[in-house]
Amino acid sequence: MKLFLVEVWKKSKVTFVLFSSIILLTFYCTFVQFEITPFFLWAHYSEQQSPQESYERIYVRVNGELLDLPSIARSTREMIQIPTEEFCKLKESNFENITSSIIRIKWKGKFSDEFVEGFITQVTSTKEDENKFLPWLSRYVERTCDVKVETIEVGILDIVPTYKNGKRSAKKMNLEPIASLER
Amino acid sequence: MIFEFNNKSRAILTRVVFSWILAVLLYQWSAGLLISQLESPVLIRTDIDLTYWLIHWTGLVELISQNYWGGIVFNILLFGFTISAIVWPKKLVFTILSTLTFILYLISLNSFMSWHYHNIITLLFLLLPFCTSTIKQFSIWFAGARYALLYVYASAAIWKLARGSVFNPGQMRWLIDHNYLDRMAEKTFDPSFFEQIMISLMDHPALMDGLLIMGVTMEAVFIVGFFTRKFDVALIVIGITFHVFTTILVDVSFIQLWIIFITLIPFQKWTGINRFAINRMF
Repeated sequence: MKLFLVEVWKKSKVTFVLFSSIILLTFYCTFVQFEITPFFLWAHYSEQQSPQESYERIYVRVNGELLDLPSIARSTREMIQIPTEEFCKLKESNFENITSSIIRIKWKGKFSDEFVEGFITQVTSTKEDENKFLPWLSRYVERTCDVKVETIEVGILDIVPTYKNGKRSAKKMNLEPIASLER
Repeated sequence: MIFEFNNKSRAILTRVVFSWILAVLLYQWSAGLLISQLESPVLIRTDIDLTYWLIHWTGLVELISQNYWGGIVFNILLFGFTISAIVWPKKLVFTILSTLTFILYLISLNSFMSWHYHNIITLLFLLLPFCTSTIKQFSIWFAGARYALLYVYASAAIWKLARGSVFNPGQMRWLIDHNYLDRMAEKTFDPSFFEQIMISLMDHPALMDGLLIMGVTMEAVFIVGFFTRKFDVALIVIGITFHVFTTILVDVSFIQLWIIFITLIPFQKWTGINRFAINRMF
């Protein structure tokens, strides 16, 4: 690495400065555990975890039937599952989130309230999005799952690992609806 | 020693890399993940990522996502620039515009998905060299992309070592639970061959922990690449094997990223052998 940078220095001073800045910013972001694209953190699955008695998940019920999420291709499923998880979290916190809190704290007094609130609307989800989420989810599920959505409900449940007669399985329990929509 | 490409070899690499980008985009299309297919998504999650803030603040994301025709025009540009970069690999304007639209697409998608996924956006490291104007700059940035790749895997291993997850008993069991229980809870679940292996692994905790240590070791060996280029081909094999295992074990393939291993191909070594001389081939 040192030799590479020496060689870069010999070939192009400007590129050397750019590379050095990228390296320093990457280390800085890693040190403060703060990700700013393209200074990514590669910390997936690095937190210590232990097997649990149950795992909290979201569910989507369409026309009275639970959507079989694992049967949907992973990347498409994630576009349904992760925003729904986010919606459930936002509902719980009344749409307060870390991004808007930090912007308000850091920018208070530095910019006008109007600018700050306008900026927050541009970069985060706000309370105004609450009633728009299920209509959007219905449209996306209709497009990707080939089903006409008449009613939709989202919520959280527990998935509990089971072990019976030497066979491992899992069951869904404690369904807790968060929001629903009839179209 | 930084390998010096020439115009012809750069053009070939441009075609290979942007063809891969086109394949990734076609997959995204088939998965219903192009911006115009997202049905005007509602939620945005940008975290504290200033790049995401800046791009959302410009209003571009809203323009392409909240308006059907905005999304369609954006798709045409995204595919058009990428195809143009393949057809006219020596026209810098197309590689730059393709890279810019691709990054705008990924930042928009990650924001709407509420998850800043690294599976595709990391390709940025590989695309940057193709946005440089001279062969000298291209060669330097391409060599730099190799170090970025090494850093990705090496730092992933260091995080797991530093946080102690690699030697944490039960970590692998949690990972498998995390990825398989959803499927097992479905009444229609009919395990495939690999899924049956995974489920039976749950009865062998020592083996599971051993697999995790092996996986982290495979990531850690990329550190070697910082000191020598001798083992670059072996690193390609290790990297792909690692991803085949993660696909089976935790359903994470990162296949869209595999093209980045192109930076580990020892062009330098091959140039010394006339028969395979990359620069003389074209």
